[in-house]
Amino acid sequence: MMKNLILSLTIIGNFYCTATQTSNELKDDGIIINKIIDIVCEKEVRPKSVLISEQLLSNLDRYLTSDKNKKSSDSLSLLIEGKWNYLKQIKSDSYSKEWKQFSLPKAVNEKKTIGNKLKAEDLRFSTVQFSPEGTKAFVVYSRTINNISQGTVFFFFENKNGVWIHTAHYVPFFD
Amino acid sequence: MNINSIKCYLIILVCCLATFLSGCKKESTVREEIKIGNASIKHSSLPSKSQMLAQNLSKPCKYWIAGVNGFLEGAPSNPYFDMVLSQINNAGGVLVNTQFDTKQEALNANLTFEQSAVSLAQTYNLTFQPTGIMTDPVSSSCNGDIFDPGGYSGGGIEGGSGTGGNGGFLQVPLRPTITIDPNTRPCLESIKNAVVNAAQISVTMANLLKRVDNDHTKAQNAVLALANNTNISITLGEKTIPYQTITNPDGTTSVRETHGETNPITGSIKLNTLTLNEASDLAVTASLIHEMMHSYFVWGANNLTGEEAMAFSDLNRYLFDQEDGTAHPYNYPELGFMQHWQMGETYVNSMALILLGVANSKGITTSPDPSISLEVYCRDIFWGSLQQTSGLDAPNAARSKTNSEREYKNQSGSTGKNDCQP
Repeated sequence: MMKNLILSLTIIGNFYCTATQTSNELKDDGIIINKIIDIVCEKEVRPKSVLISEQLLSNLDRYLTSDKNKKSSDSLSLLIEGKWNYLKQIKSDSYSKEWKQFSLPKAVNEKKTIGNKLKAEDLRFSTVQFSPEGTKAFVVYSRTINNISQGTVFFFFENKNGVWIHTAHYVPFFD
Repeated sequence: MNINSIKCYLIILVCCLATFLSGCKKESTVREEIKIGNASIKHSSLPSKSQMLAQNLSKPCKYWIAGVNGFLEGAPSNPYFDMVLSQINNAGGVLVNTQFDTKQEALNANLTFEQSAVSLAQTYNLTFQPTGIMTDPVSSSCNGDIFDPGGYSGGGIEGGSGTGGNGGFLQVPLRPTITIDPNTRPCLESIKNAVVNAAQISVTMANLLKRVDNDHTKAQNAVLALANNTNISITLGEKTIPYQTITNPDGTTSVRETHGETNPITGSIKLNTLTLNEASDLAVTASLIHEMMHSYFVWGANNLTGEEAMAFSDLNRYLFDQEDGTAHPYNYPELGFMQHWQMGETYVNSMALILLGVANSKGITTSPDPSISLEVYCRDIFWGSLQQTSGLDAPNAARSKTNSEREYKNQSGSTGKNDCQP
């Protein structure tokens, strides 16, 4: 009886911890994506919503296949070789193709929220990739028009004293 | 047989031997005479002497080069002979049909022509030798009097031949500022050289015609800036960039085929191994030109100063902030799109002319699409990529897509694949 009780409490505890962590990460996702929108929509009004899908991480895989035999010394490479080196472990052969719509607050920093500027324009993000200890984050951003990407940007964030700080962003390649 | 007969036989033998040797020497080279102007070519844009006499009585003097002559020589197996001959003939034809406001300008143009022709020939292991150089190659018409020291009217202008400037003439051969990654296939170097040579020819001819700022040389100047500038060091290599299939939010799928990429910080270029394996030589060349333009933008926006920087920003306004005029930083999220937009608006026609020059040098002279010229076909190849990578509107979107795909997939009827084998 006692054994069963302990087992049940352990399961419930684990579930609670996981749920709390997921809830925190979801909250952090929102904070990070809002910060990116502040950067990419600097002189514009904000869109009502953006789209998130894991499959945009294939752009990171593409970047990581560069210079396999040669060590690069540019600042983007240094980030990925340094604090964000956990990114080298996330390569997947089958990213989820699912899209989630993420609604944005009505107004931030006096910028009004309206519908997307062009009817066929989307702001798309990968799922946020947190480091195992939860203090680093990475996101792929892409603006598309008529489902054609206009470019890819890698965003890097660090959590300092509970606040997510934008560390850097890079255009990894021109096609 | 007396001694005189022996002498006679010996003389005949020596003559035969000399003829034989002379014949042998001739077999080792081909030699083509270039003769433009003088009595053989009429000035299509210049008025006749009588017209000049009637019209120019109160007009300022005009000067022109009466004719150009020379020989182009090279090995019979040299595949570039006809192309170089054609280029020199074209340039010479333009030269003798151009009027100049001063005698010095005419002399400068003549000197530039000769230097350009010599350098062009050297680039392709040929020799151009100007001949029949007159003491004064300039003819003129002043207030109705025509001076034609080259022999038209027997008159003459006194004065030396002059040396003049070289009008911005660019020297060849080129310095190796684009390094080839040793792990890449050898064809990339020859394609890169073909691109640089084609750009060099266009600029040389434009210098001759004093049309350095026109639409026909913008991409050529960019390519040469990249290839000739010792302050630039970029690497050209290859890597596999898998074709990406994205499922869109509306359920449709988009396949993104990337032919190459440029590093926004270093400007180094990698062409896609899949493209190198599959595409025609012309499509691979187009990809290289496209990526070289990205590399040029990276370099120009970050390294130029003074008047050069101002000229660069005037020409490439999408790479600069419209409000404060500063260059968009290397991590500006829209920079890739802006560069494509700039290519589409400012460079695509001259990029196509480089591709046309490379095509001609490989013996490709007709368009696989019979409805358009080879030059327009080359343009379509670039527009096809710009549509796919940025969604830019091509002048003829459907045709560009078809023609671009024909070359990138090396489909039946394409210009073919000889250089870059898997």
